[in-house]
Amino acid sequence: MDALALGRYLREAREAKELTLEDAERTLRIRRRVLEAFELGDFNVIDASPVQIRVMKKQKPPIRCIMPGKVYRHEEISARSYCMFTQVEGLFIDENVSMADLKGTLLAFAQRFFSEKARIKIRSSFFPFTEPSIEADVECFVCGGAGCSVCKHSGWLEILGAGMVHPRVLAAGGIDKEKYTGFAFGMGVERIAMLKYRIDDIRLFFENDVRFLQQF
Amino acid sequence: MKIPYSWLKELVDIDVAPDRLAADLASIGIEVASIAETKVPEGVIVAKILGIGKHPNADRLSICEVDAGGLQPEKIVCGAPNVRPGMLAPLATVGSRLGPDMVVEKAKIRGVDSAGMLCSERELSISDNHSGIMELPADYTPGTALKKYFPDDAVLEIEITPNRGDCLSMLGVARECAAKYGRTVKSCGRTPLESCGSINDYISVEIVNSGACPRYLGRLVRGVTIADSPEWLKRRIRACGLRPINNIVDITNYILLLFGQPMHAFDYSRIAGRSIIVKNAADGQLFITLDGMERNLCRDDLLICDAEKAVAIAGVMGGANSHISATTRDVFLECAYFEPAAIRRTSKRLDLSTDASYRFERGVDPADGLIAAIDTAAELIRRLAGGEIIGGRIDAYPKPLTPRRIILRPSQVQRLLGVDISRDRIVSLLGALGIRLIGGQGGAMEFEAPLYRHDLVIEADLIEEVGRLYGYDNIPPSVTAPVTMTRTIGTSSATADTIRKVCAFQGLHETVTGSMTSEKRRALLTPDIKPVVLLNPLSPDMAQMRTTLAGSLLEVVAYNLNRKNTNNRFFEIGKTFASRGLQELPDERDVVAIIIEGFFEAPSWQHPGKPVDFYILKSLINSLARHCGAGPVRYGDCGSAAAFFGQESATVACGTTITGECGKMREDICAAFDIATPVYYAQLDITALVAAPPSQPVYSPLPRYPAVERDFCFVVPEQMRSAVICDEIAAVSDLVEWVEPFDVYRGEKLGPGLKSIACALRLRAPDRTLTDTEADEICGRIIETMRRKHGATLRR
Repeated sequence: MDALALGRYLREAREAKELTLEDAERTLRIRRRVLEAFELGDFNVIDASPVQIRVMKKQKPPIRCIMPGKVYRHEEISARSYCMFTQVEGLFIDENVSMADLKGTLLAFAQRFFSEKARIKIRSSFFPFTEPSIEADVECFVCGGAGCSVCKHSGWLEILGAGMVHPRVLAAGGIDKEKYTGFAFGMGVERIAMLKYRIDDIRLFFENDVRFLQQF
Repeated sequence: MKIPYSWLKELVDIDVAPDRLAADLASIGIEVASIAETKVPEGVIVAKILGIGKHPNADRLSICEVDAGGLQPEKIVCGAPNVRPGMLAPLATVGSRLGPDMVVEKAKIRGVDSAGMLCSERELSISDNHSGIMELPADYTPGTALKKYFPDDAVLEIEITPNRGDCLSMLGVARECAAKYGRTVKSCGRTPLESCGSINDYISVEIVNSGACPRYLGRLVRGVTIADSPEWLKRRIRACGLRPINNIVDITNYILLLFGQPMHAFDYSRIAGRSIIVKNAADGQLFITLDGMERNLCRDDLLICDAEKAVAIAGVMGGANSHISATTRDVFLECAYFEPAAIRRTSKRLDLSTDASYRFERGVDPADGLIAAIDTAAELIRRLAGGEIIGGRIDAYPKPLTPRRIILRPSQVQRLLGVDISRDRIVSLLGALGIRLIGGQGGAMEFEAPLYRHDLVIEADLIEEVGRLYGYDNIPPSVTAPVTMTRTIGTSSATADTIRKVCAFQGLHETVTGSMTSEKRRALLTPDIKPVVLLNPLSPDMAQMRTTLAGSLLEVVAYNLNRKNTNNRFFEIGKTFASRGLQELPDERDVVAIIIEGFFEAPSWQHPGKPVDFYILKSLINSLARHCGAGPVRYGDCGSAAAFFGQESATVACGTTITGECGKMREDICAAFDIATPVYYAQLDITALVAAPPSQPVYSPLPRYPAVERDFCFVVPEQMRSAVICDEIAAVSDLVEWVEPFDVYRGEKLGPGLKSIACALRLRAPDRTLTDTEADEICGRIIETMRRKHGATLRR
């Protein structure tokens, strides 16, 4: 069955029950956007992380974990993007976990990983599984924020996406959203390595040329 | 989306420079990908070409006599093909700086003096157009600085996240700026000057599928003249990356850019029966869109129809049968709110994404925005294309949408953001975004979100709005209280770390390769394994999940050989996938694979080199198993090893569990990857390496008594393996310390189907020196057992 046929099958099944997408969302606890994506065979929008839900179902708060792994996306391959990369996700759920804790954690990471004096900047963003969602930039460790070719003269490097765990994600993981809050982040290992080692082509990671591998 | 800074400034007071604006927009969630500054250089003036003469010394050059505002005409040498008398063009006078290294000087070009340079748009950084000299409008005054007409500007290329369809317009971005800077958005709509008559006498609108089309507005402008748009409109449209077409189309595009509201203009004379019906297509219905393509529709697609036929695919593209042409006199304007999912479905299925569908998919403003858009469009048409606006507008809105009401508890703001923001501050931050406080009970407040904000649904959505306007940078980072938690690393990931170390010490390079492969590769390597097939693969080369790492590593070897990187040795830790049918999750295994090719020890002038062979592979596997704590490795029958191995292969077992397989790759398999040299490959299951009993060492005293050594030569059937013989010998007595084969012989003397295997044997007792009698007795038992169980005879 191809993607469109599957989508049509799902939609007809839903319509046979005279359910709207909203009804289905309520009963299935799957976001409407995702249901719709399946029905349209449009998998580009599906990007939620199933690992986090699995952890939540297995373990009660407090949860603090790091989850590295390969992720895949439907993307044209170029020097800046590849259809596969290594993602490190983090999840922290407890009572009274706030954006301030997320910031503190990201700052600690940046200072350990890049430089003791590293600063971070937080921008508003959008991810379907966090609300609010943010992106974090770290002050360029090459020029110290003065502007150079690595940071495209902005003084900042984008390192990851993060946010406060969406109440629906908590609910899907069986966690009381009135009692607990949490944050989650995800960063691409290759992207961070590219910044740190100034590698200009992400494909090098997957071509495995010995002359590249030998350098590390 | 392109946002001209100058246009934005007309909509909202901004007193920061473009780069600062970009940083501020980014902080509230509108990423700015680039800023293109347009700055006409000092010294560039408007010049009028009076006459053109031929250059005496160059065919391709001409000498233009221009009016540059001075008393006397100037002579300019020019090579562009498009100059003509009467044309107005930008002239860079002597001394003007067109770029970091480009200053216009008084020059002799092929022997003729030139008092400056006529410029293309690209030379002035106005656009990328370099096809000829830029043509200026006829009403510009020669001699005036061009800066007067082209003030310094910047175009911000912004990226809008998919939840913020309301920001896909100048107005939307202006609203965000106003909220950020505490300003108000200036009114940008225009009130139409209607003439007599009523639109209801001219056209009727019926919505059959109001689920897909909740609201449909229409206006009629009669007696227009289709012509080019005025320069200001063209420039604006170009600055936003669109191409000017004619005044009517340009106005609808202008409305799209300004309000984010896609509109469609129909030629009224081509709407049959003076009626518009919004309904779904029939399966298989064909329709020619205005790009001339015939589209095959289905019953999911929403159509705009007249009394006889379809005239547009709703929200996606108009039809070739009703669009504006040079002879259009009466224009019917459509301005509607379509359900995002309906448009997305059609756009996706037809693989047709337009500026209109892009916005409808993300949700436009079903309320005031819709009205402002159609009224402004009608009024602009009246002013720029003539004609008269028929009184009234169609407004088919069967079930008016009501704004969403959302409860917000200030305590939750504190809880989620980690900073105390007062009630008043929350109300004013949200108010700046048009989110109104309408009531509340106890500590909770009730807000009403504007209809254009489709993304605001739950409390956390409002908290995000508070957070991003308050500024995430203003939230102090907190250091979470350190807690002691057991650090659990999965056993397989601990084993993986060990594997990495062992392999790296052996000089192997770790690879990371794609987990997807093609049907062809899979069928070649593992014809018997049922693969996990991707529903929506990126390409046929990535249509299935890999069933073995062999293909990936062969590709890596081939890739390196092609680049003259010889003597390759790699390892990879990854997953293999096999389907267990649709009802069950696939069989995923963590494996480690090793591949070696060429020389393991490269030849040098003192050393002939050591090519890779089965024994090197075995020693790598043994070393891995030992360091992972898995018991002694046993190599078993090759019969069950994967098909890609040749004769020289074996299964690998730690204890009783089969852990993997190893061997020499078949030559034809290597050839399929364009590899001509021998390749050895092993793949071990990491979980099995861990599951094998850990060998906790227990000290055994060093031997204090001498050993007795004996050799045997057994004649056995051809298919019998030496390991079987060795196992059998070892089982005979506890005193057998070591046994190993050292020779194999086949020959006529033995007879057909037989071979002779020579084994060396060491016997030792821990507590005494063995006597010859004792040793003979054990050897006798060995010979007897071999004869009885395996029909083996001693070779004489």
